[in-house]
Amino acid sequence: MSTSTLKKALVHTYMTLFTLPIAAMIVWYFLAATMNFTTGQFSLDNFSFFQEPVQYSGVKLPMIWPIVLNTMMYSILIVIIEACISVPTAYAFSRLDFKGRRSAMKFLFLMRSFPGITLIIATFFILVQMNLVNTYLGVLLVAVTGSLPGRVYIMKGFFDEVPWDIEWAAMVDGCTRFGAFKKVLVPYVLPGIGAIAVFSFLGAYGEWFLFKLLIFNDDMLTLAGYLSKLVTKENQIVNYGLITAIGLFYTLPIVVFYIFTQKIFMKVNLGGAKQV
Amino acid sequence: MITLKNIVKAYDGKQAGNKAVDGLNLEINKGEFVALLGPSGCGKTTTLMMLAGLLKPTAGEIYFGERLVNHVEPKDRNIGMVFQSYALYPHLTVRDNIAFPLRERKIPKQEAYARAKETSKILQIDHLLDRKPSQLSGGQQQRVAMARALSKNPEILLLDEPMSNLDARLKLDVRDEIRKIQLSLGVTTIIVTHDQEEALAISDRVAILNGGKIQQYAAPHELFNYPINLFVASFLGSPPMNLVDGKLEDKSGDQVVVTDGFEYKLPEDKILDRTYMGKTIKFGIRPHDLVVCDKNDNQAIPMKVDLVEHLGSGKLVKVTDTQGKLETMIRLLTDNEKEIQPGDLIYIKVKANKFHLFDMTNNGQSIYYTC
Repeated sequence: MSTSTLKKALVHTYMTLFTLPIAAMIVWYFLAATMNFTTGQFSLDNFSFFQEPVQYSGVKLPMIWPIVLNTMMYSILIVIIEACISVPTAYAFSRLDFKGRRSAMKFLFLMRSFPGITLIIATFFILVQMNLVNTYLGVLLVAVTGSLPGRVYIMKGFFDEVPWDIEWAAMVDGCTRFGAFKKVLVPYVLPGIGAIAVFSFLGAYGEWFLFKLLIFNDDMLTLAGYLSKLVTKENQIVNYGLITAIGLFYTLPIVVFYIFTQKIFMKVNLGGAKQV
Repeated sequence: MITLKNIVKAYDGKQAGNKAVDGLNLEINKGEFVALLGPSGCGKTTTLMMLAGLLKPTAGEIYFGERLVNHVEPKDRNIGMVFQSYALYPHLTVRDNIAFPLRERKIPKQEAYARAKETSKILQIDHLLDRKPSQLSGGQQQRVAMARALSKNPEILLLDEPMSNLDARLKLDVRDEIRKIQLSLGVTTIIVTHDQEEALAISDRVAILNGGKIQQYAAPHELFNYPINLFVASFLGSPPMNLVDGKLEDKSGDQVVVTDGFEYKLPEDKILDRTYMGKTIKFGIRPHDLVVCDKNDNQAIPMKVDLVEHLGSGKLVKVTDTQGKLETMIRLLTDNEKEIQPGDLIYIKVKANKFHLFDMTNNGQSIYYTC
């Protein structure tokens, strides 16, 4: 054996050893969902939640399909709201000269690194005062407020990359400032908007804490919150088969989504203007 | 006609009070090709941006014809502009890029595309219309940028260092082409450049800027032959003009330039007023206005050869006086036939009347230019 093949073999062994636990977990995940452990046979019993409401040892949850609809509506709404607010805001931070820009920028950065969870009790009381507890509006407000600084920060980076020449060219070519923003800058930073849209979507899709805290009706939950309801403190019995089955159903769209959207993250600059 | 009157541009922020443009006056005739030339930081790009309306002057007035345009938005000025980076819209095809200004004027798509095609033919890029800017070479991108600027039939074409990203040979072709198109369309054109060769070759008139002020505004040959001051003289020309420190003196009736290394008697027709005697000056001669001459010539100045550089078309010889008292070496151009080696003693003279005197007590103004 030559040294290079030996090296390769070593590297591969090393990588395999470290990947194995992860691979094992994924395999177990699929097995747990699709196998009856008592009989050791393949079964789709765990997937009965498609047809009937979940009910076992004291846990009683509504039918899953309205929950799926809630999840989609909520996630898409979050994406739209966050994109519509963060893109113009980021443009303003990147391009406009207004009073307090620098301090606002610092505050934004602070809020981005601030653990929002520590504010949750105060947030809750404010929502109670505003009669927004147990409403989607309340959840939306808290969720958007929490993630917006990060989105704006990322988006600002994308706008900073746009050469001034491009914006000026659009203005000379007959656009107003807003026209240049809409027709030239937004298309230019489209990969960035795609990126924050994906982050927003994943964030919203995985949001369970706010639902657990602010939503009391089970039929208003989203999938992540639904999943968390399967494990409760009151009953010590955990139905792993059911959890993994619903978990699989919950993860699959994300995996598919990721496969299709990962290109966005790779393709950042489209070229067209020479960087001087 | 474009008129700039006492334009001042001061940037605020960190460099507050720093004037990028400081009292600039300029008149450009209709259909004229004018270059703004100067070292970096001289305010030439700032001036162009103010013409485009992308920057607002701090003081002064800009007129397009009779119309005061100080507060007119860029989109309402009917200008075409080519940027140094070309600034093509990366998400649009070449066709849409060229048609963009037309579409912004609410011209129907069909007509806009037809006109884009026409313009692209002039610039010979009609075969590239369906490509995206990222699929084009630098030269092609430059043409697309030109086409986009010209498609709307602008009154004024502004070029911001449009050729600085092209390689040397392509630059020459593009230069000629820009000039040809400009002449055929008769569009008033202003180019900003730091490349003097480009500016002199392409324009009707050149404005040389330094420190936010116009130093001299004249036709290329005039700038070269009659520089108004030391800055213009030293900025233009390659290899640069020889500038030797000296003094004007009256020696028994003859007016003489006295330097550390040699003396030069002013010819009869260049005799100066007596008030100039005793003044500190710089004596300027372009390298090609110095010739190697015979030892017996009555104007011959003996010089020692320090260095010989081959330029291909000739030789650049650097000499110094025999005693080595001159602070700067003197450059002269000779043809390839002359056998000159470092260390040789040669005799040189100034071609008839081809010299300049700059009054150092008056900010380096040219003495002959002013009188």
